[in-house]
Amino acid sequence: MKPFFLLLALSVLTVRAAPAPPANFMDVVRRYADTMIEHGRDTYGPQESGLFLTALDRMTLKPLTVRPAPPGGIRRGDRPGRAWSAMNGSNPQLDQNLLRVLNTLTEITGDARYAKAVDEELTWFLNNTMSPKTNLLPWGEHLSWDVIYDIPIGGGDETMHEFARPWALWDRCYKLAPEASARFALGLWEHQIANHQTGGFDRHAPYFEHGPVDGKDFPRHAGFYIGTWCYAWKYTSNEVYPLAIETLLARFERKRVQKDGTMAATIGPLECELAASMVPDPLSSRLKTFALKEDELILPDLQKQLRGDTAGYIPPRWQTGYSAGTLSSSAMFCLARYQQTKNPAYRDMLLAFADSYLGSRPEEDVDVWPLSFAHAISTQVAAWNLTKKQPYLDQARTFAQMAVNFFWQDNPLPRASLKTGHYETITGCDSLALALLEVHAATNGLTVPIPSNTIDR
Amino acid sequence: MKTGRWLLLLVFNIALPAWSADPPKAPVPPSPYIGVIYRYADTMLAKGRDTVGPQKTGLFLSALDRTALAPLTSRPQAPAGVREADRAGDPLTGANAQHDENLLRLLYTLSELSSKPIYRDAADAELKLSLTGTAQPGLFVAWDTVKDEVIKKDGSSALEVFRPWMLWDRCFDLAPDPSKQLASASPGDKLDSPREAGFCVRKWAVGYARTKDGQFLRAIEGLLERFEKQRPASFASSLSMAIDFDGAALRLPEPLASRLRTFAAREDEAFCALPHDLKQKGGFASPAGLTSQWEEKEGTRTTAAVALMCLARYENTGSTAYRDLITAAAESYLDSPLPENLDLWPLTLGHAVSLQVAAWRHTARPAHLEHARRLADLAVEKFWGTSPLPRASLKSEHYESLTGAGTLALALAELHLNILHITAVRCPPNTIDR
Repeated sequence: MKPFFLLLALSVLTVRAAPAPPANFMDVVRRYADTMIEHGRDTYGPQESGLFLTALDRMTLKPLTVRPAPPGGIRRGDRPGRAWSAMNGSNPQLDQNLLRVLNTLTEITGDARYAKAVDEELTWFLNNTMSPKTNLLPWGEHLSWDVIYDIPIGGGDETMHEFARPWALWDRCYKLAPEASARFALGLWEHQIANHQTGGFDRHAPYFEHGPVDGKDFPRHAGFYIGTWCYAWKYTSNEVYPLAIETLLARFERKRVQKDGTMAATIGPLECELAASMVPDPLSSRLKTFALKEDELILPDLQKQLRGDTAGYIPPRWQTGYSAGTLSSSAMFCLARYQQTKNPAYRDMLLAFADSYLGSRPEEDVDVWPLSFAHAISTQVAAWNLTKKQPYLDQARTFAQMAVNFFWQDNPLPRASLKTGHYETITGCDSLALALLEVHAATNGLTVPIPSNTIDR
Repeated sequence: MKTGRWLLLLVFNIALPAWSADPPKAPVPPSPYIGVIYRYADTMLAKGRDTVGPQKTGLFLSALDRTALAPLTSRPQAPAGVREADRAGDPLTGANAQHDENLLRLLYTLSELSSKPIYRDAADAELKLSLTGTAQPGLFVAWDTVKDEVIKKDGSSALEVFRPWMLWDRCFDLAPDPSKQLASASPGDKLDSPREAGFCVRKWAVGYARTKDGQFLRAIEGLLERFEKQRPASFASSLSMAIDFDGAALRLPEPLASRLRTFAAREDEAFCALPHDLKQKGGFASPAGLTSQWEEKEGTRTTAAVALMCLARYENTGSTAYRDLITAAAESYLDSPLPENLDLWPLTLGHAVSLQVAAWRHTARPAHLEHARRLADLAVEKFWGTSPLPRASLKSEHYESLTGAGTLALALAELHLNILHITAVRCPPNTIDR
């Protein structure tokens, strides 16, 4: 037999390797956190800010020297780097769940390094990156802070401020940088809202110069603003914030009435309920009433999604894209609202979403994001928390193991999607790490509360 | 410096300039490929369809005269490595949807990219005609557009499987009953071939998913049971079967789905354990030794073609063994010159381009994207030249999709989307030539 074929025959006979042991999800998350603290912070350029980089080269654990291929469904202008250039941005909104993971790690492990890194990020970012003219911050959907050049940058041709997610860390921000936090909240009112009588705004507002317009006032963003102003009111008692909240609330009280007299959901109930818990009456009651009506308008659509009603839009199970979530992201909304209200309709729907994922796997050749797994896992953990039925926890563990195999592989950092190889939080690896912590906590009966994985909306 | 800026603002209340040291803007990278692709597609729509013979079916011709942009009137010499019996008719006036599968996939993509329905409509028309039209040639036989009859291969009109058929779902959308009928068909003794068994399992899985007819499950179970008793398939056959079995599993109920996955994992292990030598010799293990980087030979695949099968497994499993094979294969092409005098096929360059694009996506190493561009530039120059249609091989003058014109065009589309970071349109994976 020729040597080549002998080697071939031998190799075929010895291929059955032992399966890899299941991952310890806490170890995976901690290694990710440790690596980000050691290699993923800004030690570049004239100002070594310590901010976390929102994208990294997984091979070198260093800043990217190129703008890597985008994950499926990610738009050019939304990425943390200058257009067509190396991607060296830091965007705390995109890293928000990483920050929440780090805080939780300190609580679980008692190691203060993790929370300290978060505090350093929040303090530096709030105190050093704010636009001097608009008080807006270089974060969110299009902006970031370039850690090499030490400048605020846009991912596309313009530098537009737009929220990417609700910001859930205001309490900490006001403790660390109260003046800057309040200044941002005021900037949001003065430079994002174009018409202070009607509440007219556009979800895009120029970062560098005053120039808000009354344009595409996506209702979701009104929720993000209300969720910002209620904290500003809580910490400053400045009357401008209830006024700002009331102005936007009134706008959408009007706008949700359609031309034919029917009503459509707008802002959603979550931030309205949140704000209601902080502002005084009668605004508080009005916000609560608004939120309850939003429930009425949203629930039928969610039921359609569950039924697979072909007349409406049915989100896919696994494929995510710009402004297009999965079924489990709807489940995360149900969880968030159930946590606020204990409305059983949301509980039932969450369980139905969880059931629909039992045994599910990503479709062939889909460029799956970590975010899809994050929400699928958190849906199962939530269902387990509500019912204590073992199949939900088993499924959560199965998804978590798949996610570790798919995204972390042999690297301390997760990759941005199944069809890319670099690290980039825009596709939700921070949310996935949070979901792994949830599985770890559920499996091991931890009493440390894990932040709710419900802010990707 | 920062303190100074804030001081200026506070004390003098003056407007600050933009943040200092603004870096120069990077230019939008050029992508000359999309024009080539549209010209090819538009020409095929305008000039490349059956308007001859008693039945003017509108099917895409699988070969054309590139100068006249009309059906061939003679049978040109076959590109090196092509079997005469595999070609579409005599003269080459046949329509074979399987040879044109990647052209059809490209047309669907172009409609998404351009928002113009004409491309999708043309692809739909081809599928509908193949399934239900008056000609009813069927998807898996070639149709002589002049004589309006099935082209018999070796005296037989039996089903011929050239590639996995990835358009079953669209077929079921367009013509459910004929699709079910065609999906039910078994290729008989070809089921002993692991590769074709995989194609069949994929077809039956879609058939089951779309009809819930138990015959499809029984067919898969019978076939799987037979292969489970055998040793792992060899070389690229393992890979091909693993791709199809794993893909099929997603459309099937348990416990059959898990059995197919387990089987695919067995084939993965067998393939990855082979003595591939990509770093030194640029080749995967194959029955004839190591795969060639550039030469298409009967019964073998090039290194890039096998690497793209690895890619299909990697992007559906995350297995780092496959990632390492893909990157090693891609690196082996970075300094691999095209042999002189080789009768290169479009398919070969198409695979090489798609491999480099894949390596770019997975490593973020710019050398791979740059090399993909070099190969694509070469492809445009050598295969298209001044014609809107690509030639069948470097030594051919005519167009003939059998040698992978569709695959090359798909690779150029993939490259274009990657250069311009377009993600709203998702290019079909260029991994079906197996």
